[in-house]
Amino acid sequence: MITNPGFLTQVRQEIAEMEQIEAALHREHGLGTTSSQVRDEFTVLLRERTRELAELVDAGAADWARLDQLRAGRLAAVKAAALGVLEGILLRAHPLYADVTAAAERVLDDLVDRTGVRRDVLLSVASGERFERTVGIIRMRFPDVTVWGLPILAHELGHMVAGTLPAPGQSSARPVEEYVSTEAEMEAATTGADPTQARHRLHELFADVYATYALGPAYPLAVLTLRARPDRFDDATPTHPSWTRRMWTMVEAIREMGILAASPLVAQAYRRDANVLVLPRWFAVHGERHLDERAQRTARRQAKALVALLDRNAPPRLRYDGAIDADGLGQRLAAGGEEKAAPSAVLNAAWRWRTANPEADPETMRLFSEVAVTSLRTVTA
Amino acid sequence: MPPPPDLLVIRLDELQEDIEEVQQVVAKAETRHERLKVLREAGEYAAERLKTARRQANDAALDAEGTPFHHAMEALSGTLREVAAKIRHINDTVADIDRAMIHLREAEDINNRCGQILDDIRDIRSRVRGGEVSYADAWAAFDELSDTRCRMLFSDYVDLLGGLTLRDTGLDDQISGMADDLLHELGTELLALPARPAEASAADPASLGSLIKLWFPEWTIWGVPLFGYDAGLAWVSRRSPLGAQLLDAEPAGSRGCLVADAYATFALGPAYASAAILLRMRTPAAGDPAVSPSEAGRAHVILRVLRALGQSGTFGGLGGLVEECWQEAVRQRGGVTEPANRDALDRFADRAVDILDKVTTLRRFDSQLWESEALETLNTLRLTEPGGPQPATVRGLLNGAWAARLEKPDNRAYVNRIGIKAKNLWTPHNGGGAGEKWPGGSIQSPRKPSYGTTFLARG
Repeated sequence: MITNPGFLTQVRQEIAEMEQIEAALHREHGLGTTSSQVRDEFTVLLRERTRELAELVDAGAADWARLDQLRAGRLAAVKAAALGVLEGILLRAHPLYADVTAAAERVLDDLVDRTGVRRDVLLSVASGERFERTVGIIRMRFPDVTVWGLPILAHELGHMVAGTLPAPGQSSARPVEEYVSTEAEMEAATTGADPTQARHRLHELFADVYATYALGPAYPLAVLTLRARPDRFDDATPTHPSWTRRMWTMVEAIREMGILAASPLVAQAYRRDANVLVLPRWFAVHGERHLDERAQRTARRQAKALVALLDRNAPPRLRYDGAIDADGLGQRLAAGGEEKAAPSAVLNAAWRWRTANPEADPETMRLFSEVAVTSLRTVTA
Repeated sequence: MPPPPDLLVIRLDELQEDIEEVQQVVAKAETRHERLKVLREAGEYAAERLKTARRQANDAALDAEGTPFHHAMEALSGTLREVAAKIRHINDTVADIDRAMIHLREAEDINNRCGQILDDIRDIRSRVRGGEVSYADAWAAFDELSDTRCRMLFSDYVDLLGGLTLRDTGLDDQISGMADDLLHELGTELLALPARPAEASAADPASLGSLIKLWFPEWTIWGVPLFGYDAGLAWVSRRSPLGAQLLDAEPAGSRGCLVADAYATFALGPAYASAAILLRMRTPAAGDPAVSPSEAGRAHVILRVLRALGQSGTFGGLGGLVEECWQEAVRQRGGVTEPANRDALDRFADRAVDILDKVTTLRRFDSQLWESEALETLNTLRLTEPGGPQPATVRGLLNGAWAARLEKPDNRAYVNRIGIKAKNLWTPHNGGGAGEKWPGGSIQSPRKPSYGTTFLARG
């Protein structure tokens, strides 16, 4: 038994906090559409941490170093996740954020359902969109209450999908992870890139392709308009590919979706989305930027492979339907009428409308967004 | 020795006779309704009398039961039943012909033209005789009359009679009826008439009044959207303030062609773009003489108006296929798709959409109308089994059909099947003659050359 009362007090305090978080989450009815599976996973996680703390007590010695390690590496993430969940719950109840939060949940629920993964995600806020693996939290950007940023949530969901999407008939297989690992190794071998960085970047590319595959041009339009950095077009970071590479991969992904389409009309619709909608918008906003020939070929090959992964392993309904009349829907939303349409259709209608009306004043944009968010909030995913 | 016969007088007399013949035949053409009416009334009378006879024969057969006449009376009843079936068939056929037969409101137009030519013939004759003009000038006037106005009149006359016969007999496969319905949807009182191909028909179609020529061999469903162009010309000819604004906005030298193209694309969407660009437009080649408006310019306006109506989904996909097909064809011929006056054409197309949106009698065929009117037809046509729900509008049918066609444009058997199936989905509304069904103040006939003549002849 530990004789150091200070150490014991601090460990017990940590255990009490874990129990408190568990109780808070179980008491909270505002978890929205989150399934019991996610709650259970959270509970298991909390109990695991509690057990680790209890082992410290059982060890007998006051192992301050181990406690610090646990705090920094294991407990902080769980606390942050719990805080995120509770923030999200509070935000959902706030009149200003209730609509957009409900709309975001509809978008994510729809995507999860169409992807066929048996796992829901938790939604919270942060200074920017991101995915937290600990318990699968997607953070939406605070204080955005408009429809415009919602497509970017699909990218964050893509990070979760990469680790959970199984192969047909092989529930334990993770084809995306396998592809990313193999491709990263090859990239490292052929270009001299750091394997870990290559892997991170390929994960980002998969998340981009996933969002594009599921949401069509709405995602690239949103991300290039709201997030791409003009001063960092060609600069890759240790975790992210350059914007130019990301954008070309998305364009190639849409083209590849056209190749997979059964009807030439729908194939043409995808081609137009890529060549007439997204690419000119990208060039207009950031200038005409191309990859060198080798990088362009790589972008095409990787986009093709990533689209094929989704085509093979996800239900067909995950693919954004190029036949959707998003322009017509956009006109009706602009006229102020709420529409019962699929979330992906509403997001595309919104971004197509915004792209076609670059001179729209902020008030008109706000009104459009309001109608779109209301439509998303009320539609059954 | 008597003077030699005056050849000019002989020619003038001959010409006068020809013109009078045209007048008579056109007048006779209208009597076909009278002849049909006699036939219809005779058929109705026969059917009525036969009903009485059958009733009497039945009564007589009952009365004759048990007598030696009973068998003979029953045989008579059976024969009368067969005759009644034949009479019913005849009456149905007459009703079909009656439905297909249009009233010739243009008789007056042609009579007026004949009257003017006859006046000119008499004028030449009297002025020669009175010595007011020299023989040389009189021959020149005769040549002008004979080679231009009379030739045009005779050409129209042949087209008119041939077209009427084709319509009346249903040999046009009822495409004219479908075109009539389309023109009616577009708010015009124009009617379609099968006619000779463009190369042989150089006449000014305006002389046919409210009839628009449906060129052979385009008596198929695929050519029907081209009538949107004529409806556009008719709209402009009404001289409405909006029509005048649009004509003012047209680049110089376009002669209303671009207005008509914009109108037709606005009203019919991808169906017009497909028919006009894929069937009719001559792909520009390198070194083509400059004409205004150029085919490239017209295609540019059509495609820009189409893009303004929607670019997403299958609507946008169809427009994109037409655009790609056109650009590839132009590239193959070594021409340029980009018209020289692109900026002016862009301004015109954008202005056209703005103005046409204000025309209260016209609804834009945009992606929303596509969803509600064409998509179901497209899905029906994709199925191999025949039949399906009748489309709500001809424009919806035409758009659905063109979309289905362009899904497999290289498969001739498929395209034929789609064309037949699409045509069978439509029942023309042209009951009792178009002129009777759609009465009212006739709009002015197109003042510009109608669709066909504004295109360069093939070959």
